[in-house]
Amino acid sequence: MSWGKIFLAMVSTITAAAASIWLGFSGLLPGTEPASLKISFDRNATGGPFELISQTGEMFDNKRLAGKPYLVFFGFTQCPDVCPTTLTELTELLAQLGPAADRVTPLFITIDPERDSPEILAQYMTAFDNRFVALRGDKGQTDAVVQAFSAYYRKVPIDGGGYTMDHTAGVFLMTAKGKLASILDREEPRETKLTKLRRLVDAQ
Amino acid sequence: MPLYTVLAYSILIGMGGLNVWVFGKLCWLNGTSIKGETRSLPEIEDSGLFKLALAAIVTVLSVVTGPALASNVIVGGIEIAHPWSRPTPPSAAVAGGYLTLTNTGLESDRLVGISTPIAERVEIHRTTVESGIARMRPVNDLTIAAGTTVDFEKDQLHIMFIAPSRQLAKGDRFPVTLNFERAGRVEVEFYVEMQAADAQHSSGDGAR
Repeated sequence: MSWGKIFLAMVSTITAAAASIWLGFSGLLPGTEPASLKISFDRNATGGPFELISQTGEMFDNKRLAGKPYLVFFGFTQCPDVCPTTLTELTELLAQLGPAADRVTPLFITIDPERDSPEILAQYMTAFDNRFVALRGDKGQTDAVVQAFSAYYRKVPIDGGGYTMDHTAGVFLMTAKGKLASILDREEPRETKLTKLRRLVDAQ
Repeated sequence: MPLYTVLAYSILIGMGGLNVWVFGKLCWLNGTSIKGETRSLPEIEDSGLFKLALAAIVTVLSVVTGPALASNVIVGGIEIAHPWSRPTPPSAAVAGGYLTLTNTGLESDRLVGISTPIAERVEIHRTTVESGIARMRPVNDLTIAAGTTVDFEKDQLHIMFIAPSRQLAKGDRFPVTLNFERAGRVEVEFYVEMQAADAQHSSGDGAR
């Protein structure tokens, strides 16, 4: 065996080993999302009943979603960073899903109904995928829906007047049975998010 | 100067040099084929064609690099790179802006004020996502220590333009005045662009 062949064999072995280690840790394989990205939520306690009003003024409750998977993102329109980037990314991911995206209902629920009037919400949503249903309720309804998803929101006053909102940043992926399937984490790679969405729309 | 800027400039200068060389070579070859004898280099440089070619190259280069140079502003010891803002949805009450500040001086400086004719009020905020909760807090004192870079995106900071007077569309530009405690006031132009374009700009920044 020549030195050249030995060298080639060594290089290919190392490459194969490195590739398999990378694949194992990459989170691309089903069920191997990096452990640090897992947010613990009680699957059975997430996705309780709720009743809100859509941007077109219709009453919208969880019964409307029965038998169809859906996505839930909590946010507010006076949020310059997390909310528009998440909504833009979801719009792009839905486009990447192709026709299969019609099988899922994306919901944007405002946690700032005080400032997000139905008119503002309706106009705001025109910048994103037109399948988005923007939902709003009064304080009690908002509290109820946030609790139904084991989510979190809090109004935070800012020095010099005004306020901002703290809120759950992840996107809840709900199955057709209304159970939590997974959460899209802001920090995870786009490919992982797309894989999770594909799994959600294909699991029927 | 951030590494990506240095790299971009080196490539541009290198390409310019190559162009000059190729043009010179072409002129020289033309000379030999017509006259059947070798011209000396000074003769080529004196020829009208060479000067014209050089002028053309300089013009093209300045047009190409013009916008890139315009977005990098240096005031005092502070270099301001890539000011940009995201397009806003209709009726959005806020717009987010980002830039990179590098303190090339020997003393630390502070960004004490920001203003723009397109917004009622401007603040700096930091977004943090911890345990799945997004939080946004005003940053009242943004210090840029000597020799450091504050990259708004990487540091999870954003400039918040409150109550913008118009919807920001891709391709728009708007002026913003930055006021530094030491370096003083400077006006920069923000470009409205999508996030994807931005990723390319900042990913090559190895300065920090």
